[in-house]
Amino acid sequence: MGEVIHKQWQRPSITPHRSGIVNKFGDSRHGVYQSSIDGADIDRLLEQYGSPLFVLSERKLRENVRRVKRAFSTRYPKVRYAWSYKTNYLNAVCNVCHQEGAWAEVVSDFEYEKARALGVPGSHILFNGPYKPRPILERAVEEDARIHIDHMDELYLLEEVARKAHKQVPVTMRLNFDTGYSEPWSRFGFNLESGEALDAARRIAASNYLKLTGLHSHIGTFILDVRAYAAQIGIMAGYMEEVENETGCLIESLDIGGGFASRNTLQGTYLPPEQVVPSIEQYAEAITTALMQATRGRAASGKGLPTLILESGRSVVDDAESLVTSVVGSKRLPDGRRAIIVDAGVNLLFTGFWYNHDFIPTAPLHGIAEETVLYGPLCMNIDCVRHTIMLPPLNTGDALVVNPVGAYNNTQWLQFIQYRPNVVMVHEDGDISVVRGAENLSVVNAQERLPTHLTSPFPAGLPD
Amino acid sequence: MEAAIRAGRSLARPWLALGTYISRCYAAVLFCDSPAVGAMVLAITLSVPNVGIAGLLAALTAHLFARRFGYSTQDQEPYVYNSLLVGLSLGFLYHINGQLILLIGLGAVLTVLITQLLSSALWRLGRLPVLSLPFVLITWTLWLAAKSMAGLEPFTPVWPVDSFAHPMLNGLFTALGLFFFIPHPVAGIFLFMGIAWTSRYLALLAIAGYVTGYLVMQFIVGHPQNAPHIGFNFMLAAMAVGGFFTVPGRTSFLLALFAAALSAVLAVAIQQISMSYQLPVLTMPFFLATTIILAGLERRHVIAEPYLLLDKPGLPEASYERVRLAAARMGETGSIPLLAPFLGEWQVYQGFDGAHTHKPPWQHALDFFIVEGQRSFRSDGAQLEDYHCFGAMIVAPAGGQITACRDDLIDNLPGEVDTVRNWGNYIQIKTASGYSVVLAHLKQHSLLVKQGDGVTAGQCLASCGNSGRSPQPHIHMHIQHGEALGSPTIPFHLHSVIMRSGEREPQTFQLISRPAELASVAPALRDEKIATPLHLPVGRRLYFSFRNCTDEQWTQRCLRVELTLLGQFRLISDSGASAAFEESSDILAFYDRQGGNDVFLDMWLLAMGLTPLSSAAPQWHDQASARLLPLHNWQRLLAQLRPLGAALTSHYQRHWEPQSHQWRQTGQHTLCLLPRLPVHATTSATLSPVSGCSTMVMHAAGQQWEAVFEASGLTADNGVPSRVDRQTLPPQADVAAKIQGAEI
Repeated sequence: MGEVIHKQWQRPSITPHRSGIVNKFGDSRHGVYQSSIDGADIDRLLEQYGSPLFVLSERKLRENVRRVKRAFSTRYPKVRYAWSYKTNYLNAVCNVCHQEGAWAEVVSDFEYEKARALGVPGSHILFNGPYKPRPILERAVEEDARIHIDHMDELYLLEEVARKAHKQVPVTMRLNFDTGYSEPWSRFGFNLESGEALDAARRIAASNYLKLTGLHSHIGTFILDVRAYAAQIGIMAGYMEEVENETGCLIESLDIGGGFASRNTLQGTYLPPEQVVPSIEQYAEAITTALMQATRGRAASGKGLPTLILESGRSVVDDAESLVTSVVGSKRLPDGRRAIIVDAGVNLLFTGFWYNHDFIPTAPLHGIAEETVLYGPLCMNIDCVRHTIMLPPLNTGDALVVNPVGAYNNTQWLQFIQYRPNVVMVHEDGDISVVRGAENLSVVNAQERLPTHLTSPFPAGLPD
Repeated sequence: MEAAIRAGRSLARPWLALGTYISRCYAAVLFCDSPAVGAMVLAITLSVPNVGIAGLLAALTAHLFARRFGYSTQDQEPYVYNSLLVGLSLGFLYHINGQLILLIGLGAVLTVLITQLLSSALWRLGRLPVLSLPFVLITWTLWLAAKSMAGLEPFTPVWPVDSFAHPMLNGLFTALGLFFFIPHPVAGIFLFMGIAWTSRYLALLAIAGYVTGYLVMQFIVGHPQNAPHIGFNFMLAAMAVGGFFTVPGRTSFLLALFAAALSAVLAVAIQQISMSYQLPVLTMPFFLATTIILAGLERRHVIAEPYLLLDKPGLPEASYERVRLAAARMGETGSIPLLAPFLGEWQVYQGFDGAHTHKPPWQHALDFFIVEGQRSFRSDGAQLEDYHCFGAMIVAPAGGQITACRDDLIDNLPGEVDTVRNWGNYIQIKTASGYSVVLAHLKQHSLLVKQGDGVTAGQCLASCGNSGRSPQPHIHMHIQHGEALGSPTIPFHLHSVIMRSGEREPQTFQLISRPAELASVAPALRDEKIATPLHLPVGRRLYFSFRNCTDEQWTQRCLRVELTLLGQFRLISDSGASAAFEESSDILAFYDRQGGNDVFLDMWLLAMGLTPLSSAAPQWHDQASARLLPLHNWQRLLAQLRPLGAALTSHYQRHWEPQSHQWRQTGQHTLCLLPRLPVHATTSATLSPVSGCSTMVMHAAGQQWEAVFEASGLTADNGVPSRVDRQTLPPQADVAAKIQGAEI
């Protein structure tokens, strides 16, 4: 008896003929698919946890933290890595990072309390950000957190808090300046070029309650040119010498923030990330070489090398998390392009606003790839997660994997008209656990209070 | 009244000083520096006044002459005991009268001069000691001369003949007495007690040496009855070779017995000649036997047992303890210390005598790479960039000059090797001691230094690569004689590293380490937060409140730092007791405890004895001096009775206490008195980043002691007034609270 061959049905597609433009990279993506994440079968994951679904790889996350730490600590003697909570503050993610030796870098009272609730001692929290309300500042001083001062008013407030606590608080100053390679982020910290930073340092030196021990600056995000960091180090080290000579303080740490790029494609970038994004080792090489160069004379003057603090979040967590989304419908747009509606929109893939995320099918797709627009499920015109992508025809229920999505999506996601889905983690031993359960109505309604006269929608009976 | 006493004291002081000095001269003959033992020896010689006074006269004359003519007047100078022996020998033969006094004076002066000549000649022959050679030569000369001096009256007392049960024992003590020209066993017994008081091990050597010599006389020479007359040679040779000029040990003990046997044979030989002139052999056999053996050992090409101490001879107990401490802190003799040539944590790819390429003459080599979860790469390992260590910084393991280097070779693809240019890109650093350190398989075009550059230890040199005979990125390090690349290697060890045996194993700080394959190694880098407050500059004074918890009485104590003439830093307690210390870039280490009992200083030395200046050091070991431990009297006696002393091992742990903003450094000290009778003690010190050691607690011998830091200060110098700086106090000055926190 011969085997019965079922021919699969293919949705018809229209491919316009175009002359002149030839894709020099060829059609190499044809046939690419991903059926599992870190050994866990995607179909089974969807079956068990529903769609859409965020999937974290604990192994990858740990490897990434180790890689960053190693890249720097094998090139510079004093390195500290702090986990940037805002990038992804799922408790499981934070604790994986802490277990790998990361400190916590928080930027708000909520994040501070989150870190403390996880068991991170105040002494291992870098408290950053432009707004730290007085109560949390008091707690941070009490618990010996490393406070980064952003502006003059915060300096006065912190001094007042320290005076009340009868403490001399070691502080770090946030700086902004122009490296010549990246757009200056002048809204954070004290400006160097205008002399504001030196004034602030003198003010700190004059205080009995504050002691300047660290400098911090964050030159931007998704910096693709490693020379920007070398320039940043040069400027910060120069300021360190100046401020030490001017005020007699001893700078113990240089915090260079983060901003390392991940393997994602910024919209408007021509080349693929594999070609434009430097490796962590390349960042490390540029930064440590510049730092070694800039601090060469320090040992001779009896000052130790400053500790290099890294707060890189994106390059560590981004490719450790994937989003699985399913096709819920397709249509043909009037201009002839195919439109696919998936169940994860910009509410879950907030980074879709600035990245061209790659959507990879979970099984081989048949048919000819054509230009496709991917829309999310939101009832909102801007909910487009990919304006154009070459994809073969898709059927309802087909799943697509998006990676990397670990950075910012779990912190900037919106609850707009939808529940946020399950987030699961694939552990090193292959076990899978839900690290954030899917929301439901009671979660969303939990904080709502109804005044007594508003408890009923139609107290006078149903309207006509 | 008080003034009168003070005046009396100041008058008495020069005489007291002279008395002490003379006593020490006598003690020096027995390798001892205790004035009490010296006084006893003096008293023994004075038991026959003619002999004793002659000796004293000679010693005084030599001292006055040396002082007047500008020679060193230290009591350990060889002319001191040589002149004393010359005097004793003359008093042994002739009655004291004017002529003999002249002869003694002449002999003493001659001894000073001849000793200078001989000691410098012998030192140049190979750092050999002059021993009692001047005494022998001058005594022979003077005795020969005296034979024709009419004015001298022979001194012929009737020596009482007392005898012990066994002729060997009798002979032993008689021989010892005869060394001081009092040929009587009772004198010998007292002298032996003096030796035993000084050093049990020397006493043991003396007995063993005598027995050996006696047996040689009995079975080889056949004249055992002669042994008492020459027996001091056996004892002296055994003591010098086995205890004073070598580090005690099994080999040196056997050698000491050989020295005794040799001196017996030599004595018989010399007697054949000297007796024809009616001269006794004196200590000539001892001198020859000792010199022959020491000169022979000095000319070895390797550093091996028995280790010679020609530069710094000393009592065997002290040398043994010093060597034990050196072994714990400095490693195998002859092994060169090097820093780890990288930053961060690496693993050993291939160790000494490795299976792949570390075969003689390149068996002393270490290869390092980085492994995570048993893999040295991420993704599929097809690219060099996938390897964890590829491109990591390589730093100088020692300071020196770059004598050769290259970085033009391409890095092999993973799995490929270059067997023509085996070393690949490399750097060769010639250290100050003349050895060459080789770092090989560096990354192409990664060198930050060039030939001829001077480098300091820890300086960045290049990146880890995969050039040469290297199938995967790693760094090779060895140290070799000579500058030709690939010359035979010599042993080395890593210095100040944090080790662990596996990925999840606890870390240990090791001052010396020769890591095995796959062990994890990270350099223990200095942390100014620990190092700066612990820094002990000259003139620093540390004030503590100290008490024994049983009597509750707090006393003020002070430690001060002084620099000796020879450049040794010493921490000196207000009791006068002191210890030397070494402060390097990575450790603070104390050693060489001197002076009387001082529990406070001992507590400091036990709590802080070996303190790494890296904040990453969680635990480590040390082997400090057993005398630091407060003991019950019976324990002390037991410790004293062990010939080379009992061994103290200390295990330290340190962690940061966030509540108090201090490190806590605890020490568990175990003294092995007898195989099943360990004595335990614990110490705990808190180290503040502001004031250094802020509290100390010690539990030992059923008691507890506590100390609390009060202030630091400065010893006055010309132009620099003394100062007490109370601002260095930690913020919470409540003593009770601090102590409560310091409970172990």
